[in-house]
Amino acid sequence: MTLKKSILIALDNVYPLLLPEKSLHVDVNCMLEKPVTLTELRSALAELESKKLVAGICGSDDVVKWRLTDNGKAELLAN
Amino acid sequence: MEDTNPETLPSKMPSRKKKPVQLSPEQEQKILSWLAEGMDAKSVALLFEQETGSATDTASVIALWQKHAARLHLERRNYFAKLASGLVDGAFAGEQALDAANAYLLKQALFECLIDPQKDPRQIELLVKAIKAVMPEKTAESDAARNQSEGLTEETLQRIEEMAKIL
Repeated sequence: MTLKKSILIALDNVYPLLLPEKSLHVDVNCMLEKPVTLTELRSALAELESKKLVAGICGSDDVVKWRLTDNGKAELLAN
Repeated sequence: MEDTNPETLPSKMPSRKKKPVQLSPEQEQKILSWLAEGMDAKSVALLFEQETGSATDTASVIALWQKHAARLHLERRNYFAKLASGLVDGAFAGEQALDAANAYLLKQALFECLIDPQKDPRQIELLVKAIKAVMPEKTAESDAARNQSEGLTEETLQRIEEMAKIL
């Protein structure tokens, strides 16, 4: 499984709610054979966000939370 | 005295370890139940070999537990998301129903409290109080007022008649 697909699956797992980045990191590593760093995760999230597959929101506590968009849901269903 | 005979050195000794077998779902369940009872991976591997005659190693037992724990973790995450939504929908049903934005806000806060043990659950209580404070109180008087405002007044009827005459 790829990192990007695992991100979409992890966000779909709690859809439509937002998943804090820290929790997303744990969930993604649960699915991957080889663990990824937070930097690698953020890089993949930025790419997915640019394609409008996920949306990130920064809360008042500076914690970034992520949500699967409708496009992301469609992408997941298509693959 | 150090043994230098290459035939008796451990690296040259033929391995007596059996190749780990492919576990059936029943065997996996058995191993997982032993691990869940608190047995360590080494003892589980040994016990499994004694009971079934099939070989397994500590690394395979650990890998099986990790796979199992990861699946449970994701299932629990999904359960908490559904629980948060279900609790809010159930607690604020009918007359007490929240608008979509406030319901979502409350579900999200509850979900975060459920998944993060460091979150303060009192935040939920404060959030519910804050939402209730801004929600208009539903009373018989307010319902009557709303019905009246939705109904056609004499003035409105006169205007409609005037419009009809013009047309």
